[in-house]
Amino acid sequence: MHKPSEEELKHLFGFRAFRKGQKEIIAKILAGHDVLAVLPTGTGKTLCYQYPSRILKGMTIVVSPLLSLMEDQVHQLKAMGEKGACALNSHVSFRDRERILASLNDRSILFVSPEMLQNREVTASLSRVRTGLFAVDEAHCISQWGHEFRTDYLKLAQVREELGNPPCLALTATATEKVQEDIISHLKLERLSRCVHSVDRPNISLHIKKAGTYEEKELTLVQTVNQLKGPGIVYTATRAEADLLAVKLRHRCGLRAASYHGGMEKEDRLLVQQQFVRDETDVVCCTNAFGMGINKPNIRFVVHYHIPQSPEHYVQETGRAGRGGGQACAVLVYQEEDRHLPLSMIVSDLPTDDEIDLLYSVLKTVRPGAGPPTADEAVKSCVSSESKERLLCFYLDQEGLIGEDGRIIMTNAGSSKQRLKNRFQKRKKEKESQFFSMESMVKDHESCTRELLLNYFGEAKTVSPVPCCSSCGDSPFSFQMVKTSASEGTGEAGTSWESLLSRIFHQDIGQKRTGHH
Amino acid sequence: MDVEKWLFLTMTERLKGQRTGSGAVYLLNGKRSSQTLQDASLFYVLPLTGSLKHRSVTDVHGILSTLAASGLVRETDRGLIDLTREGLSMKQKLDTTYTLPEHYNAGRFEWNGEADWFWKRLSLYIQSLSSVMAGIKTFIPIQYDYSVQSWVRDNFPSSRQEREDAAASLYSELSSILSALSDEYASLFVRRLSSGHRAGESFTQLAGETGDPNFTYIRFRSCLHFILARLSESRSGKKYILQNFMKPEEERTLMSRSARETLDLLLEGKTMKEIGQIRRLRRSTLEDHVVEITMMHSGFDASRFVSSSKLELVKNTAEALGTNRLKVIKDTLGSDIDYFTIRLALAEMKGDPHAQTF
Ligand SMILES: Nc1ncnc2c1ncn2[C@@H]1O[C@H](COP(=O)(O)OP(=O)(O)O)[C@@H](O)[C@H]1O
Ligand SMILES: [Zn+2]
Repeated sequence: MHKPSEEELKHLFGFRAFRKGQKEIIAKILAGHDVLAVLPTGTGKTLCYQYPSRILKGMTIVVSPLLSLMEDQVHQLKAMGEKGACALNSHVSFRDRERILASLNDRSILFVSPEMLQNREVTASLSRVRTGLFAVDEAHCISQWGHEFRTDYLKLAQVREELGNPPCLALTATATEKVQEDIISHLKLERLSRCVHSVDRPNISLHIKKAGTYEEKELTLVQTVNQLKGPGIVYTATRAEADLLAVKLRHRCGLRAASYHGGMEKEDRLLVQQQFVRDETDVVCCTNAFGMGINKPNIRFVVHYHIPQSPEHYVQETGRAGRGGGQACAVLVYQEEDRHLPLSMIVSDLPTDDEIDLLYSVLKTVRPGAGPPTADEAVKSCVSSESKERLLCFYLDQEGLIGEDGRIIMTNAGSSKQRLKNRFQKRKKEKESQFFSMESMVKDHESCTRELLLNYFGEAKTVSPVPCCSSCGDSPFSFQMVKTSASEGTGEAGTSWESLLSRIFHQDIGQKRTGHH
Repeated sequence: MDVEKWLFLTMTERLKGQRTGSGAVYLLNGKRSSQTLQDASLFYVLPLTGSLKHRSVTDVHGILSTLAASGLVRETDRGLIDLTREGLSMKQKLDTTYTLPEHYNAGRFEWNGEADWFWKRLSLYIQSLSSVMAGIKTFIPIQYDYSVQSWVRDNFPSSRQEREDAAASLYSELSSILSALSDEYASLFVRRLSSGHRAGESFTQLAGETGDPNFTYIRFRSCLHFILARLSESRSGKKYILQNFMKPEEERTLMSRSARETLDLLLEGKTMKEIGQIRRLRRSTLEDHVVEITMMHSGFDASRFVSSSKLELVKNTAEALGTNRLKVIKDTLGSDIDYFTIRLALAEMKGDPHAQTF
């Protein structure tokens, strides 16, 4: 039996020691177990499948829910020399898909979106190659109690079976007990090893500040950012606010600040991401679209400029700080009014009763000669967002209302309409209660924030780091080196395009001869 | 009110109340169909066509909805769109803020994906070259497209000497072409480039504190259009290394692949009916293809399908009526002339859409 060792780790990846949890998880996988691993963000989940992929016979499949994240992961692995890293998702053209499927081998680490695994041709091609490890990233998406339920995750157990039941590694950063049980049952994990680690990140101190007015909030942000050493992230609730704050921070803190949000071009987003990773930008003001695929060890602070939607979101987003192990801090500035936005987002993510009524009336209309409508079309015509579409199609299917040909079978309808409504009501309540937990944590200035957070995830506080949190009397500045001087702005703002261009092509006099090492 | 709304208002004005909202959306979004091909030149909107190609159709529809909701654009019962009085004065007001940059021509360089092809390959090549020369071996590529990455890999100089030569040539070619632009525009282009020592800047950053990132995007694209126009002038001469980054001629046509296949069969001497059988296509689809082919190939003889006298009749009628609306022409000419004939005649009138500008 192959056992992971420090020498091998050094040899394969150049790391001197395993991080918390890694060795145990890798050993269990190599021993053929299914593993449920709950590891806080930033501790190194990638290695948990990357290491076994070098040892196990067969390729490694990694199910990952976010397309952009997937591409980032592939490029990071490639940059580490993992030549077999590749991704399959709906952005990949048909030709490229064929090429990728044809080139799979034992060294492949294939990232794939759950939707892709619903495609028969894809699974058929995959089952022709041996799968050594079936890893499911962000495994909490399988649970309705998680903060990001993805219906297509529920079909993964079946896919895994088609692939010959390879060992399964379910990975997540945050999972309450309930969510863990869901993961185990829905992925049909057997011979199970659970490696659950505390979500606590002792090197991140947690601070909460209330602002009475927007001006006060802004002032707090400026003061905070001014005193903390970058690089850092500021999470905002809206795209417009991200753009606005970036400008403010440039002016008022003299920092190189950039904005990032889902409304930007893909290339623009990549550029900001790269500037940040390369330390060319100090602060990124962004919506929660930012951060997933970022591998940056030296983030010193994360500011929330609003109340996050759930403790899960909070932990995930603050967890991007201090990945390299250095001391970092999370500062949350909020206003009473902040609660409206997350609450309205919860509502807008779920189908309403009216939409369901509308859907059922569309489902019932049978156009003469055309037969019953297809589920996809009917759903599309009734709701406006993709997440709602996915949810509705999934539950219509669960209710047995969709035939083999994708068309609706109304004879099965029964009382399904009411059940659907109840389901979404319940889901809304659940999400609201997650938000209320977050909110009450934020408003509790007496109890230790760290402890409250850990309690939410069913843990007790075992260590008391210093600095800990604002309730414990620590301020984000008590340990930080106060900034000595402002960064010099973009540094190249005044440079002429001619000299910029000559630097790009290494044409500068003097550099020309000696520039290459 | 940003530049994308202005583009939509401008498009709406030019369509003179003769096209639907979707028609305008398709033009701005650069959908390829015989309808858009025809409309782009009929209404002299080629420079705008495909200017919002980087947005999704839904996004562009969203612009229309916003404009309609704020009463700037109105839709008739038949779905045709027009500017309202407020819309017209808003557009005139915006005209003082926005104008299309001098060298901007979306219909020529965006619609067929030429600018995109060129920029993706060039920017990744430069990033790679600059990084390798700085001794950086692994970096995250600025372009994620597999086809772009593999193109760059295949065309990347392998020896150090070749890399230095490539850098020197690209540097001198870009400096000389960019010098013909204002410093402001040349800067946009250069600051967008990623290299070994810095990542390029986002449009928000390039726009500065007060600028509109979307307008900056348009201005940046006009630099690409300028460079491409320069390179096209001397294409046959092959003067520049930069020409290697251009989309190959055969892939630049706006014609849909399907219409192309129809054309091949027509050139083999097959009749419409035979082609319909071979390709299992409906007559109406083939008619679309023929209209498309007539648009794209000024040399293609439409009288092979319809007598020249009928075509002439339609052309004269269209001119006399001063309209391009099929329905109006059809109503005037009566049942003798079918829609196919009218579309074919209009296609002939306009010929190669590349030849048109504002
Ligand atoms: N054993 C280790 N020793 C040193 N660095 C490690 C080790 N394992 C992972 N890392 C580094 O930690 C960072 C975070 O890893 P990653 O897998 O992206 O974390 P996450 O758990 O958030 O997915 C990466 O930069 C990775 O290279
Ligand atoms: Zn505390």
